[in-house]
Amino acid sequence: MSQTSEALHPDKTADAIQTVIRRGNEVILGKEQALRLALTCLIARGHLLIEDLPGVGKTTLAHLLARILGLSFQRVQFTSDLLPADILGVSIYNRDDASFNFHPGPIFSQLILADEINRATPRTQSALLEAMEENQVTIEGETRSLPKPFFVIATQNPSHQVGTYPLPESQLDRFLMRIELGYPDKAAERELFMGEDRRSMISAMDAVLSPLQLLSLQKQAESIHVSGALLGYLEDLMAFSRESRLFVHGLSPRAGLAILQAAKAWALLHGRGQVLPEDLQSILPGVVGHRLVDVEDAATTPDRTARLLIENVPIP
Amino acid sequence: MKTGSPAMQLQHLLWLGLGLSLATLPHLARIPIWVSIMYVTLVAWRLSGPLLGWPLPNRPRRLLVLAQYTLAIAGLFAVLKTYGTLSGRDAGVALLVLLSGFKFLEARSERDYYIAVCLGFILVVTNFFYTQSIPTALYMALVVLVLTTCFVVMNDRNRGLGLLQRTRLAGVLLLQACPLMLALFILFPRVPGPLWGLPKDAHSGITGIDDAMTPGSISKLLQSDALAFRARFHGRVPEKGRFYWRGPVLTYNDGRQWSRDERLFFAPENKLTNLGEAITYTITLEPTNQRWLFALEMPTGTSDGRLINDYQILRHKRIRDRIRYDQVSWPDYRLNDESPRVLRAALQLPEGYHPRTIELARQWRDEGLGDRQIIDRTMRRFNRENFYYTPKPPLLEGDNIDQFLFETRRGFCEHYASAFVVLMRAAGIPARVVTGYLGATYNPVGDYYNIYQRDAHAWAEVWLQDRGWQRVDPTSAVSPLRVLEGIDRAAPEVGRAFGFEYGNHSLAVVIMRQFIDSWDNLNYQWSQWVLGYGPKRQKELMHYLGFEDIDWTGLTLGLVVAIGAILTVIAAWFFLRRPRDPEPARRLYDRFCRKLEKYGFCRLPFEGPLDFATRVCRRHPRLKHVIMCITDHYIAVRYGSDPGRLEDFRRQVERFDPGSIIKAG
Repeated sequence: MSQTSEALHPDKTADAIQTVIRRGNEVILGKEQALRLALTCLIARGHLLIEDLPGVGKTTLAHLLARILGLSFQRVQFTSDLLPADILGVSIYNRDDASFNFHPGPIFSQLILADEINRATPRTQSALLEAMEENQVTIEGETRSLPKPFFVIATQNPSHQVGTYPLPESQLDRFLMRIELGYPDKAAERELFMGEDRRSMISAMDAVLSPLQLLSLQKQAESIHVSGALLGYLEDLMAFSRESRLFVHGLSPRAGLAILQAAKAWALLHGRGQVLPEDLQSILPGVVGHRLVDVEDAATTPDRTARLLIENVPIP
Repeated sequence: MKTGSPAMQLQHLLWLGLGLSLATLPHLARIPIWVSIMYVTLVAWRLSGPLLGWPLPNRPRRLLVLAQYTLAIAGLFAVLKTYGTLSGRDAGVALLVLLSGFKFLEARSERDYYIAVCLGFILVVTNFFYTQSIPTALYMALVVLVLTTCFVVMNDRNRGLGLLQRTRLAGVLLLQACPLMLALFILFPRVPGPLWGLPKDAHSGITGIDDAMTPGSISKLLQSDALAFRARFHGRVPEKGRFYWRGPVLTYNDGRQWSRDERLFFAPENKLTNLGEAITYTITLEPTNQRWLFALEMPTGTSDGRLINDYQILRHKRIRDRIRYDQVSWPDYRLNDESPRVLRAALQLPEGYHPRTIELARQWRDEGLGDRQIIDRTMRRFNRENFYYTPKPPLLEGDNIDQFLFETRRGFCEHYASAFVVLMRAAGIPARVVTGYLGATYNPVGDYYNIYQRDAHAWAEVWLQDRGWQRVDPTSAVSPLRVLEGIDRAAPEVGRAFGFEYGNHSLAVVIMRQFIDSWDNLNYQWSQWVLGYGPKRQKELMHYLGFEDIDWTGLTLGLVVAIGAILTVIAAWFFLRRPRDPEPARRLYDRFCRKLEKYGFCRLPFEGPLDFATRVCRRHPRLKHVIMCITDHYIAVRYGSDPGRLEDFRRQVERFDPGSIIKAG
């Protein structure tokens, strides 16, 4: 296991990623695609939103990623009485040296898990979302930068569940990807029942990558080659989303950038030096699922939305 | 997504219903009311299901089908009963409207939909059997657009287009068809004949001058604002009050009505001497369903008809379409040397009629009056003795001439003309009634004259030994205004639209007048160049373009050449507008895909190269090596940053032969 702290050599990238995925699969059973998407999201410097029913392994996935990637981890359970200060931190008066001492909140860890984000009030939600966007927070007039890498994995119950404040579309956009986990298949579930406790498995794991190595992966992803032909394909997809009447709105330029970012990371994850149309298609469910609303069926799945887009646009 | 399903959806139904109903709408006023009601019921029946959520069986229920068939057959018989036939214009249209309703009712599959839309196009054509005006053409263009949009709607399977985009696409399609349409319109050989004719009954209900005249037959035209014909003068224009447009000449009197004497339809045997200057002009005659042409007095021969002895111009067949003809007339003329049989006919009086009139004439003759004096006496009598000019004369029940001359003394031009002629004949002066139009309305916008049905008039001609045939208009003795200023001034109680009283020169009236003149001019040009584009116009145009004496074979050849040229231009435009894929890698890859296509592997348009390769290799592991190698090259050249491998890629694609590898295994 390469437990080095220096930057990852490009030749070893593929190995390292393979290891991450293999180790991840040992814990989260039968969810390789979701795991890959989550990893892609992190390598593309995006934040991740996991939406699904309670108990399908959302928190476990977040835990696992923090552990394998060797990131400092904090979990915040969002509730309706959670205040912004509970996330950002507070200054407390110290009588000894007669000054205010800042006690950083959970936001100052490298990976935070915002559990059930749609149960907190919009005010608290936006404190987190602002931090995600700016990569820094301003508390009591002082701007403090957040650690690098900095990730937010938010989980959310499907909005039709009671007692929630669903994220508005503009805030959904802050998340690079939204993924769904879904029920595991029979075999995976049997293995889960038979195997040891996932929580203890995770805490027993070693980190596969160091934060520095993760940063270098992010750099590598950025330098993945994107050809004119592929940009043409992306443009066609965006144009179709805007011109057809299948969706309520088209994709925004920011969404286009997100697709490109994610596709590059996906290509890197699969050991390619260039982005292929397939890479684009693979990450599309995660990236456009929460950005496009089907005119006919607003409650459709991300996969179906992405297929609708893909199957209507020929690859140039 | 319900893609590719052959069943019709609600939106298809609504579009189809809209298209068919728009095409049928103008017919609703023409067909019997029960057909209209049935049509609306059928459409509503079909729409009620999906709209109101009534269950509509996907597969037709037997009972329902039976009801539909019964209704259809009943409708067929009802049409047959109403019209006595199933063919012809009116019955045909009624039948077609019913059929389109039934087709709509039973429309379920995509095929039904297309058939129904085509039916809609036929309905559009049938509207032109009734009217070919500009508004109709514009409305029908709209309907054609809607019907074309119906095609677009059915083929927009993913509903990827909005309402505006669909309509725009249909509009673009139609515009693209325009050059072809124009070529067909201009060059398609125009043959005068039944091929282009309307159904026979399309000409019923045309009002106009008749070939017989009874009291009231002309005054009833007074109510008609319909156009009779238009005239454009080339140079000299007749003076005011001399617009006598000669039509049927009525020589025979049976005591009740005047009619033409067909025994006199022979070439002129008299002598027409032209004094003064000729007037040349072109007439565009609306369809009359009669044979005679109208011309200013006195016309000379024309290429479009045969001039007969009494200077009517007869055409060889009835005028069923708008026609245009050039004409020369001599307003100052002498018509001498009449043949005796014509003069004999011009003295005919029915046995036992008009005793008082004959008595009056005899009395005058006994007084020793000459021909001219009798004419003067008659005119003076009309002028002085309480005779009135009125479009609504009292009904004449007995001997109409006697009653009018001695009792009612109120009449319209036909009363005066016929009484005058009877009186002349009774006095032994040959005379006859001439019918036609008097007057013309100038259109300053288009520089032409309109002659309306309400300008219809009747006057008289008498034969004087020394002068020959002489026009006498008895109406002028009663109402000089009629002759000089026209019917609108002479009979103001008829009341023209918009209240254009003479002398009203307010701005609103002037603007309105201007607008009406412009609109009329537009209609004139329309009838000249679009509706009037027949064999003659075509010949003129070809002549103008430098093709002398082109016959239908030449036209057909020209048509083929023109269409070929248009299609070539369109094809070239498409070809040049979308430049061929500049990327050679893409072309090579397409070639690779085509090679695989022969073995049943068709790359989906949205399938990436790697996915495609994986799919093929799963079926034919043997091919794996070579396919992966080619795909790798393609990816490197097109998506990677390694264009140097293009040549290598080309060689591999050229060498690629999936057949040999598959067979070898």
